[in-house]
Amino acid sequence: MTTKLARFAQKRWISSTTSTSNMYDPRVFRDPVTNVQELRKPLDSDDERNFLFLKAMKSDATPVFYRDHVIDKLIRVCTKDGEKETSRKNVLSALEIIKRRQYKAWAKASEEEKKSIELDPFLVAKKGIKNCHPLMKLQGVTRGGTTYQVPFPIEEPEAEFRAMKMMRDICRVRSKHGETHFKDILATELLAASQNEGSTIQAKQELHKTCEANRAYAHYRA
Amino acid sequence: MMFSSPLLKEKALARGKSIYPKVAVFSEILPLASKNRVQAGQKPRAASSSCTQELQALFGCLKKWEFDDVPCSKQHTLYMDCVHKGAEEAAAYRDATRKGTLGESGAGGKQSMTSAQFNKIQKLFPQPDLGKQPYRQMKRLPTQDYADDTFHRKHWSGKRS
Repeated sequence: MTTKLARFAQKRWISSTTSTSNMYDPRVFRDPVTNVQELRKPLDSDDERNFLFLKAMKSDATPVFYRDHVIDKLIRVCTKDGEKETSRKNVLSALEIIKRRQYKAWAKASEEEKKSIELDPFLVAKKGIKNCHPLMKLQGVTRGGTTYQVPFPIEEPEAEFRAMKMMRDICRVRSKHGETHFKDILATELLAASQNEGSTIQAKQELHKTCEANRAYAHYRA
Repeated sequence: MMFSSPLLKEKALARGKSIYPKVAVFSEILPLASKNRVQAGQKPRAASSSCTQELQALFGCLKKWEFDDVPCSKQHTLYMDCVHKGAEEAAAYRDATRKGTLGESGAGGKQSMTSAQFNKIQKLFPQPDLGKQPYRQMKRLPTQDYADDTFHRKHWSGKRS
């Protein structure tokens, strides 16, 4: 059985390991420096990067001051058909829309209200995503021929991913057939989520409700 | 006129059963020895806690706040701590099982030996002559008589006894 599986896996039909070879020969290519502070310093004389090739920098690893883990992940999650640049444009446009709306509200607001309006769209988006983090996930577990939807605990990165995916799916449905643009609805959702309201928050609460209804199956968590 | 004891009128005695408790006499027919290896009946796993209490507290809080998780961060933290602790214990137990660590009380204060640990000891100190012909199970004990034919070998060809 094991040998059969091993032979099956050997043909790389199923593979649990990362790719061991790519276009970059590991003997002559080294990773590029992506940290700005590192970049300003001269390389050591015995550093291999002095005389070896460097890999091309990933498009989301460029050393910019506005690099943000959450926004990068959101861009990756919203990517469709491998068009990451399009997705980046959408997400950054949504951030711009958030900024414009917040500034408009800020300009209209009175002095004491101004303090409560967050103008940084990155912070708004991060808070929105944070508010959408689900506490658990539902996973099918088959016991005795019946598949139960069992609530499982999830770690922080997975919760973040699921929040983004929920938001993306909602935005995709709402922007179908040119109803709205993806960036507009994404901006609306992020702003609403930062106030702890909106469709994504509702979807999260629905998920919690289903988890609560299925709490009797929690002991199937092996 | 009474021909027999009134005890015989009792039901059990009338059916010919003894009134005394049944006596089981032990006699060793085969040597009481295990193989050098035991099979793990079940995949060894730590006594896992499913953190039910913490989960119930979390769901109670969620229900109270209409499934909004922002006020329930404390319960969620407690639940995740419990989950992490359980995962750590399970990992430690798995390691101990795989390594077959000896001379330790095992994870979670468990004193019993795992099957891997037992197999390791058996490998270090195997039972003599086990698995070699003539098999130990087929050996006559000093207390057993040749004539008893304990192993039903009377009609077998080859060595007697």
